[in-house]
Amino acid sequence: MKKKIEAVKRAYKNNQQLKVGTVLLIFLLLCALLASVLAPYSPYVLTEDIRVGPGVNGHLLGTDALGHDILSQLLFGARTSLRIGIVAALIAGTIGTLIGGIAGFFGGKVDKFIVEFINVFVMTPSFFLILIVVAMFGSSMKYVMIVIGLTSWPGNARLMRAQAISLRNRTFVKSCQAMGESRLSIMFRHIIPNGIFPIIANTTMRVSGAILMESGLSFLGLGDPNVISWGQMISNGKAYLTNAPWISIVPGLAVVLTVLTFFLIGDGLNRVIAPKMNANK
Amino acid sequence: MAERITTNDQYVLEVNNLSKWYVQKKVVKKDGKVSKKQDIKAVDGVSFTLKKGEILGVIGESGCGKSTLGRVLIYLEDPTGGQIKLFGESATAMVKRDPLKFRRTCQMIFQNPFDTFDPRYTLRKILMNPLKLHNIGADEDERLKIVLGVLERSGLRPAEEYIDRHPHELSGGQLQRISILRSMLLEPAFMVADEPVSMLDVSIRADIINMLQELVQEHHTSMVFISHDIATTRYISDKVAVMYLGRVVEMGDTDEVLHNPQHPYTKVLISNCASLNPLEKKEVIKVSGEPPTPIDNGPGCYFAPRCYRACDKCFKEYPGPVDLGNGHWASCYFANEKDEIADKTIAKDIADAK
Repeated sequence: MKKKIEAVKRAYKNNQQLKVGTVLLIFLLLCALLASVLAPYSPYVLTEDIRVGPGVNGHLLGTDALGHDILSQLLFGARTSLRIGIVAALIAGTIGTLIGGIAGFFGGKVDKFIVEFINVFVMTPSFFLILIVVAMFGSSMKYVMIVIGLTSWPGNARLMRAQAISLRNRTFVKSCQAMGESRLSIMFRHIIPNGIFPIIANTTMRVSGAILMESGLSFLGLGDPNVISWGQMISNGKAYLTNAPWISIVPGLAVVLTVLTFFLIGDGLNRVIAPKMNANK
Repeated sequence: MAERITTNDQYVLEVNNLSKWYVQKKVVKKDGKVSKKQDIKAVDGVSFTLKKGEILGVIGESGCGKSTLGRVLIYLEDPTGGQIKLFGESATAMVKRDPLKFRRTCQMIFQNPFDTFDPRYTLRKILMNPLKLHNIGADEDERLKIVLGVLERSGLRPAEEYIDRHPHELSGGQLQRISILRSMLLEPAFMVADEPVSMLDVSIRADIINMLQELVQEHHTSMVFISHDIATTRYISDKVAVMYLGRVVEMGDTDEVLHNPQHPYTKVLISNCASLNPLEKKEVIKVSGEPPTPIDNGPGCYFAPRCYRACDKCFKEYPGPVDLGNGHWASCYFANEKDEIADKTIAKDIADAK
């Protein structure tokens, strides 16, 4: 165990992406967690200053058309974006791992059926599917999270299926079978734990996808109207792009930064733990 | 060879006409008909019986179906045809009815000890899990005691220090010992050892083989010992089966088969066996080519295209087993006939061995 931790530490030190990513992630998490402390105003309060530029009257990043302080909104918006991104990616990761694991490990007809099922999901334009669901069930944050999670698992499922196929022919799986372990127990105790590394990396990257998706939805006015989100802020600012560009640009940059953070971490993780975790632990 | 209890005449294992065919999807033309599938006959009509404590060595080239036979015998893969009977009871029915009991009765030792255990598990988990699964030992403490005993016996002392290690921290020999001892924990009546020493360092092979033999004798376990090393097989087994392209071509008591081989293939194998003396100029029987894939080998003898004494008859019909007495048989038209080529080359080897 000690050796393993040391090896991971060493790999971590050599991986610039992961380092930068973690620093950014910690920064984002702190912003989200301490939003109520850091924010100079309540995000919902309407100040006297309407559409003032960054730095004016103590509004570090300016205000929007209704007088909301943008920095405060940005900090509270981080909560929404991160929560939606992480929950949606976790849902997608879990579903993908289970479905892919079953397909790859059980093989045969089960596999064929699931592969076709995955293909159907890959073909479906997921953004429009989400639009339909939101239109039908309303746009609460809960639904948005779940729907994004339910539509973005096929990538994970494919990865896990490939892992399971290669693992199920390994001797240790055969030996567990010979020892009398049931197939389900082999899948949950051996196949999934040994094959999950690429899924972890991919799920981290999916977080940024989910954040983008949510921003897109909010931009179209289909996000949860009761919570502040970055997409919604961009959408609010689009009418004032020429005379108050900061209203849209600031949350836009925040989205870019967050997406970049999760990509850096995901890609870095990919390099550090997969595919040869076993060789260097 | 040490004496084993063979008074109990009931067969532990009866294998009758066992076969395993894989289906390959490929368009083939045969007799004017186009078929989209073709069978690869990895194991084709293998029959043998094992008494309590008996060891059957299976030898043959790579790709002749030895390992497939082993895997089918313990139902890691389902047989395509034929029957396996354990103590007179159909194994297929047993696997369906009570898989845990079947797994406890039949165990397997794998070729690659480095990959036999889940790399993420510690030895504690690896060894405790099967005990829990099969309800051996009354409680956790007793199981731990058993596990520590296993580690001590496999030469990992002090056991407490090794129990929380991962498999990759041990050597191949240690891992294979643990693998063997783990299988023996369940006290199986029948065991398949699939080339248990071929991946190990030559210096520790004898150790492992001796340990395996001791354990098997101790528990009166019957074993199928798969190997391509004739010397090892001779050392450990009571009976030998020689396989070629999924079929057993010759079978009998070890000494009988290896000292008095009758099938040309057995003779070729023995004549090509490495000698200890590097200076000795040995004449070997040469056969050309490699064994073909087991697709459409009929109707004649499978070995005929490479055989040094094949005649027309050999290409027309597969030779039935010729009984040579004492349970020794060979599937060859020339069994029991004088073979000058072989006599010249392997007579000396056999004399040496005797």
